[in-house]
Amino acid sequence: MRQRHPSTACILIVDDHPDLRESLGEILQVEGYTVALAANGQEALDYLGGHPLPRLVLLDLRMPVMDGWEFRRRQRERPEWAEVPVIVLSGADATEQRTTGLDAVGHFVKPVDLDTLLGTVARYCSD
Amino acid sequence: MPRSAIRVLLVDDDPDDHDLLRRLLAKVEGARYQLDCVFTYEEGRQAVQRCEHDVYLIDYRLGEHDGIELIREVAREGCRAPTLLMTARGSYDADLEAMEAQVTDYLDKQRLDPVLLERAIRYAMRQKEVEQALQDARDSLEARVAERTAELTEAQRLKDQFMATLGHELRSPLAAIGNGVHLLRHHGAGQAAVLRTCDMLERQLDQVTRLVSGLQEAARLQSGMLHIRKERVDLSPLVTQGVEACRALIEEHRHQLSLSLPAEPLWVDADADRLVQVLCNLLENAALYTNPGGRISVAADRDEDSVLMRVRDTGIGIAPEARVGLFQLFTRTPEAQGRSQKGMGIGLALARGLVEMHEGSVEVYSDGPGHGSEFVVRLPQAAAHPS
Repeated sequence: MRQRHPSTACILIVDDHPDLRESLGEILQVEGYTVALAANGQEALDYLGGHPLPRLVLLDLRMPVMDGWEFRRRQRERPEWAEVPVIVLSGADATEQRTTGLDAVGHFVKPVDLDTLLGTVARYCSD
Repeated sequence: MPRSAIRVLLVDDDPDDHDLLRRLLAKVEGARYQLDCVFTYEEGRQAVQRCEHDVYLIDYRLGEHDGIELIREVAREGCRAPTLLMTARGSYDADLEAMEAQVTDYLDKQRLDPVLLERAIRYAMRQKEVEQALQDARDSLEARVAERTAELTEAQRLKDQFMATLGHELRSPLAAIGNGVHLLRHHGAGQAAVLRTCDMLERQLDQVTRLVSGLQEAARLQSGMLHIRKERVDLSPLVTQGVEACRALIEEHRHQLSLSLPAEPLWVDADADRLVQVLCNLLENAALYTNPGGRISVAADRDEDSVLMRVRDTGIGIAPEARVGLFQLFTRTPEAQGRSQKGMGIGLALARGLVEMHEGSVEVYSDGPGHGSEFVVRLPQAAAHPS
């Protein structure tokens, strides 16, 4: 996880691929968002437990330690966390994914079309 | 004739026939028969269900039923013993009907004598033996076909899974490359940002290249196109070389690494690059399938006539049932699949293929999921290096 946790993080990126989460984080920062990074579901839960809630979570599904499905299940167990919308960014194509039960507000397949993603992010992070 | 008594069941509603058969069988020379007699169709059916006799002698007329019905019942019950249908008067139609019901033979009671009866029983039993042997051969062939089909289905499943994993594993570096291009295009003004992004792009190109190389190695392994060039080498420096090649990955995962090499050389006839590759494959697995902060130990030593290379980790371990196909191409254990790692199910298959090309073997030890694992490469020891 990147060392700095902004006190008013807007977007939490959860992905086990270091360069992917770092570069996506950088893009979002350039766009003016604050960003927090987590390498798996467990780190993401730890983040939620120790920081002000993000406005949005960008969630990979297949990750070591704790995958995206398990993260989502635990996130929804806590009512205050459950409010945070989740956009799934998965490596799975539409035929093999198990995204129906995830109740995500969006689903993107990597490599993501960044303009579309930034548009969706803007909808959930603008005041 | 078998030495033990032949068990014969007579199903006949006429007590005189019971006596007749008993007398005839008693007169047969050189064979012992144990004759059991029942009178009714129902008794016959129950006896047949028990499948306890070697031969069934069944009268054509059995009250409301007939012998052919009973013989059909015999076949339905799966009783493999031969059946002989007996009739008081020869009838061609009954004979044909009996044949269709797969009666082994058809006997005319009027003409029976000990020689004819013995011969009919002997031939009937022999015929059934041949049929049984044929059936056994057919069953065994079917079993082999089923086994091969299962193997092919599994191979197909692994290949399908591999294709899905390959797609998945290529998508992350492609996404990162896409992010890099976006950053360079839209925000590449600062020199530091450009350099950082270029570094990242390089790493991702390496990753895609490694995936593609793995794919090609897998193809070579499957088509038998892998080649090695052997020479007399000391294993220890190769182990050091392999460890150094993987050090960055091990450190990235914050694992503790220990290396133990003997003072004396470990001579083997081997392709040095390929042995380094084998060690790297094992070390990469150890690094990837051990939670951060684990321990990895690498050692080389020898026993009687082998040189050994060991890689042990404190990682996710291997269930006993997962060990069976572990070295098969594209196989990934359920524990490994649960982790989105770079694993494609190629490394171990390739390692074993390469080691076997050196007349060696790869052994795996694990106390099960969560308890780490150890891979031991065993290579034939070569004589001391010629000076």
